Amino acid sequence: MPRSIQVAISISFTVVSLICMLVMGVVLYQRFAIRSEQMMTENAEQVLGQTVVNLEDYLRSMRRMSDAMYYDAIKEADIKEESIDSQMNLLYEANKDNLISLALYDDEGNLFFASPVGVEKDQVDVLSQNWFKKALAKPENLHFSLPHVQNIFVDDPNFRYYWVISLSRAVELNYGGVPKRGVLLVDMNYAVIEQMLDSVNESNSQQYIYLCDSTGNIIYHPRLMQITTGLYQENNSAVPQYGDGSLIEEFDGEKRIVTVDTVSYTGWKLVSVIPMRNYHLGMSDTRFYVIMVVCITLLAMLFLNRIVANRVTMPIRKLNDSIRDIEMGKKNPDIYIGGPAEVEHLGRTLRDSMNQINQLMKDMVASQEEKRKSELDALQSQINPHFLYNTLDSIVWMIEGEKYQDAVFMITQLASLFRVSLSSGKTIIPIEDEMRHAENYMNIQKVRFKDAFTVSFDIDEAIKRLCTVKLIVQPILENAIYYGVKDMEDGEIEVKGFIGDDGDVYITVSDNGFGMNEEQVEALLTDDNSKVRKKGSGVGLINVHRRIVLRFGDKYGLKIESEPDEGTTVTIHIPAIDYTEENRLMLESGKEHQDEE
Amino acid sequence: MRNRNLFTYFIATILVIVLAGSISGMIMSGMKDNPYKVSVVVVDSSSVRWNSFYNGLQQAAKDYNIKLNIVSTSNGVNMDQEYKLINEEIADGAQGLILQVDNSRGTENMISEISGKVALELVDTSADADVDVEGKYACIEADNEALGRAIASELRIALGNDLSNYKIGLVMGNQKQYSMQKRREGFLNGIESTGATIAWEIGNINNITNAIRYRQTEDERVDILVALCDDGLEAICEYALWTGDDVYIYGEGNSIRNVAYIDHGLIDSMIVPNEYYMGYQSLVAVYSRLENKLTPMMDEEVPYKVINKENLFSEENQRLMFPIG
Amino acid sequence: MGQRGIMKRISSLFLLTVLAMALVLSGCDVGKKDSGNGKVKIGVTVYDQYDTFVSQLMECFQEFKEDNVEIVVYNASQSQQTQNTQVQKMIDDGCDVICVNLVDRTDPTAVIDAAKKGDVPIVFFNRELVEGDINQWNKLFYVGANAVESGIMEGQLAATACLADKSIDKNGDGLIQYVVLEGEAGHQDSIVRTEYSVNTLISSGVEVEKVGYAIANWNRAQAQTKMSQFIDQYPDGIELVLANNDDMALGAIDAYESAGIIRSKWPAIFGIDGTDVGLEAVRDDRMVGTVYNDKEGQAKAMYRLCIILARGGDITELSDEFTIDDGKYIRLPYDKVTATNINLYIKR
Repeated sequence: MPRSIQVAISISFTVVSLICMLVMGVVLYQRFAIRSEQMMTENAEQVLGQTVVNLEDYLRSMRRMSDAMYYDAIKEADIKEESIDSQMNLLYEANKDNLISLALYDDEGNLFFASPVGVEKDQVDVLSQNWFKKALAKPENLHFSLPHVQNIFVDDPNFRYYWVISLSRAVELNYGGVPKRGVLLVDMNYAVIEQMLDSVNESNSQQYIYLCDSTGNIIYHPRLMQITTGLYQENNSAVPQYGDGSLIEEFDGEKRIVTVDTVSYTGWKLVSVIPMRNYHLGMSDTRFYVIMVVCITLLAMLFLNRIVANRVTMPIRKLNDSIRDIEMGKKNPDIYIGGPAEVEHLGRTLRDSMNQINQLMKDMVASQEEKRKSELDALQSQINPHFLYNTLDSIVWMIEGEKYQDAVFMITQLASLFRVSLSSGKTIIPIEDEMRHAENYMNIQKVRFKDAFTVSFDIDEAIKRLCTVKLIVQPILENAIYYGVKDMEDGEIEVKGFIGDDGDVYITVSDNGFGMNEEQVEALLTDDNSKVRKKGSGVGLINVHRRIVLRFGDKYGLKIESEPDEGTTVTIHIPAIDYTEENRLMLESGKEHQDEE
Repeated sequence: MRNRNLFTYFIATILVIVLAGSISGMIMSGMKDNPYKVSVVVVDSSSVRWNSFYNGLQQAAKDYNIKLNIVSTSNGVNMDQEYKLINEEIADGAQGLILQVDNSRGTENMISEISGKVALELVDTSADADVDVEGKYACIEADNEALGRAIASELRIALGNDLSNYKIGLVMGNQKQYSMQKRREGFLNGIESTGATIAWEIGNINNITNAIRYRQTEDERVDILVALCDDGLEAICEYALWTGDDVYIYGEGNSIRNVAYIDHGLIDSMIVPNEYYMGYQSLVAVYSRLENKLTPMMDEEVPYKVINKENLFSEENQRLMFPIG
Repeated sequence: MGQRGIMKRISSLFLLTVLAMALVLSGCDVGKKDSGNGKVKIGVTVYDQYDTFVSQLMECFQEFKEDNVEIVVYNASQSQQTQNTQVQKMIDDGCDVICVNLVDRTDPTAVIDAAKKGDVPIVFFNRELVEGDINQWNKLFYVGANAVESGIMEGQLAATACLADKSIDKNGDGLIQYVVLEGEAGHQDSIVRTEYSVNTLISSGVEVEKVGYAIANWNRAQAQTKMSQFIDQYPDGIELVLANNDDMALGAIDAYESAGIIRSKWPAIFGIDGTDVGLEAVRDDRMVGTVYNDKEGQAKAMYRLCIILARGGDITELSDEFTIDDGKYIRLPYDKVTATNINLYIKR
């Protein structure tokens, strides 16, 4: 059973909205996710860039200080004679937030000057320390060491140790005029870099920044202690291979976004790590939110769908109900007219159609009635008692008068007349049979009226085997007798039958009788069946006309022309239809108007 | 008609389920921001020996979003007091507890009671407890017997295997704790074959430095002073600085003071357990247990290192011995 | 129609959902933790854990701790930024009152703002902030001592010694050649102590000649280095050393000891603080005198003030025990300490 229209609309609405919402949700989410990832990466790169700038500034200022110390103080002085304490102290004091100490050694490891603390630990071996060795190995450069605990000077016997990054360089000393090589050490306070990078790593999310040198050794890492203790792994050994910029790496079973930026001069690399998991976790909130919104919207749409579908289909359903009423055969059903234009139009049309059908049905019933009546009438006329009585009287009179030949003649004519009248119940007969009937009738009437009039038949051979309705000629002849020539002495009636120019059959009955005036002509054709005349066969011309019209259509029928005192001509106009069984059946079954249009 | 209704119900139901799912998802991730509360009860909470331990704890607290509360205790806190403090913490909403007991004996009831209420991790020393089938608590400590042996071993490496001429003064620390007992045992076992004599032993008293001085002057003088715990080692060094007594000093320790004493040449060799590791891992264990109430807690061993003046400043040891910041 | 029933159901579901959402989203913010159940929580941040005086002050402070009181101590490692973070953390952790030993006395804004916002009173100690800043809020207090007084007392000690003991003027030129070891450049206490010390000396009738001054950052080792440099420059020319604190005085002593100079050739060395090591130096006749900074008294004042403030009380409740200046300052008096009265102070 086909689905109801409301279900169809509901389902399609639902499906459409579902798909739309899902697609929209997914598309927007994806876009957002991608954008979000991009932004995070950009952000990381920015932060990195800024931090690199800060670091570079810091390192540069340290280098400048080392330069200042060297070029402005050390190079100028003869350190055998002079003391550069005050310059060292000054430089230290000016930079003490960033420094732990300054020291000047010769290439044999002898300490010349130091600030702020100049007391060395006993058994300290400067020569073996990396910063010393590196400085002398490559005198043209400034060397930054990896972070380490300063192991040269004694601070408070308060157990104080400093993490430093040693900035060392080879210097040329003037020792009593003799050039000597030495090393200038600037121990930078590692805590400065630590704080700088700690503040960047402040946020609680899982992303962080760390610093390593060009070979991947870690200089700063927010989880340095854990790495040392083996509680955390870092992929710093891979860093030297990465260029500057962002990439996705997989480490320890996890995907991360890694951004690298190089610090100039030292070749240190600042690395930012964003675990993708962190990003996903952050996104999961959004995801849930999106899903929630989509669900609520869908529920709302489901809800609305119902309402909309309902409202849209209601007129159609009402109309449908009306039609059902009609089907059920409800008398005078109320057809729903309303709703949108189309539905209203449907309703209206339906109602009009209904009305038309009703009307047609009525018409058909009426015409069937009429046909029935006229047939009844014709039937009646077939057996008009008066005509019979009179004819039989005549026959009896003839027999009594021993005019046996005449009587036989009369009886034979009567029999033939009745044979045609009955025509085995057929209503459509060939014209020749109709003509025979007419002849029979006229013969009888001539005898009865003692040849008061003459009659002639001129029937074209062509029309003899064409169809006609039975008993149409005789009533006209009857009229011609009783209203035309009855009281004349030389009454003449002519019956002609021929094919007209239009191919139809024309049968004319003309008499030269009294004629009629116009009112009388009209009266003959009035619609009043109650005026069944007692004389004659009793079937009025109207009946004939009607029967012809009924069978063959409005085009055909009777035409009466009459001139008072001149005569009357009645013309029968019927179509030329071959008398075949097929045509007869067709005409008899009431397929009227079959050759119209 | 029926079909349509069924269909709508079906879709509506699915949507509601998904909706409920995502709402609870959001709530869950919101709730994830509520940190666990873990309390820490150790003996003498403000002693410098705990510094690395606290560093480890705090780093783990930061990593795992845990609210840490280190309860203030004094040097002389006993089990009753610890018990009282623990109950206060539990009443205050603690979900996990990290505990160093003062006395390892007779703790069965206490441990089963506490481990029933919170996730319990014993640190530094084990204690008496009933058999724990469900793994409701665990202990993280060093292999103290091996540690004791290691001290003895250092002695032998430095002074040879024949120590029959040497006298040793032993600062034993809190012998109520099993960890200290095992260390002592390990040390004695390790030193046995050398023939050295343990002249005297000092336990957990208030003024160790004075006691050593007394022993050295009034009692029997020893050439080697050995401490089994950080405080004891500090006390020995203070004694040495105070009196100028030129003794060999060995022992266990981790505070920055003792590290400095190594640097100054006072301590010849020191065994350093990785207290940072102990702090970090103990909190991780508590966290895991709180996250998944069904996984049993497992004991863990704390690694240790041998540090002396030669290797104190090596790259790896630097980081452990001199914590940054 | 069955549809009505369904619609009703869906709409009520809708409402329920919206309600649930509203509940979830609104109830998210966890407020500040309440330290509850009667416990008083005191947070302390010291400017440097290695400052002898401050660490001894904290030891005294801790000794006052009662049972229902919790004290948390943070070390700012000489970074004001770190200290700011620590203050915020202490407020977030539910401290009832905070004690702050400012790293940078010119920059307390972040600390004060955080305290105001969290409505947590602050007791500044030992490193004094300027009046303009302490007046920013009515719950800011200071416990310390009057630096001027310490300077004056050191000067008096030095004057008394120089006037009484002529051997101090080693070269007998009637002038005392002196060196000043200063704390920090620009530090209020340094400036005040130096100025008043020297001025008091002069106004007591001692004639002086300034040999030099050095900044040793309150630090013993740095003082030793600076002193050594002076010794190199003026081997016998220093007759008096005025140090802004005991640690630096001890550094000077270290310098002489490591230079191998015998005690009789040393200058008269004076310090300020009265730390344990300082007192020992006085007792052992290495330092001539020091000015005792009443750490016990200050610790007590701090502690009592903290408890009162945590209860919501007023500083005036302490007016019987301590002198309160301007309703905000508690400054404890100094004491002069020499070999004569050393026993009163040592091992207190």
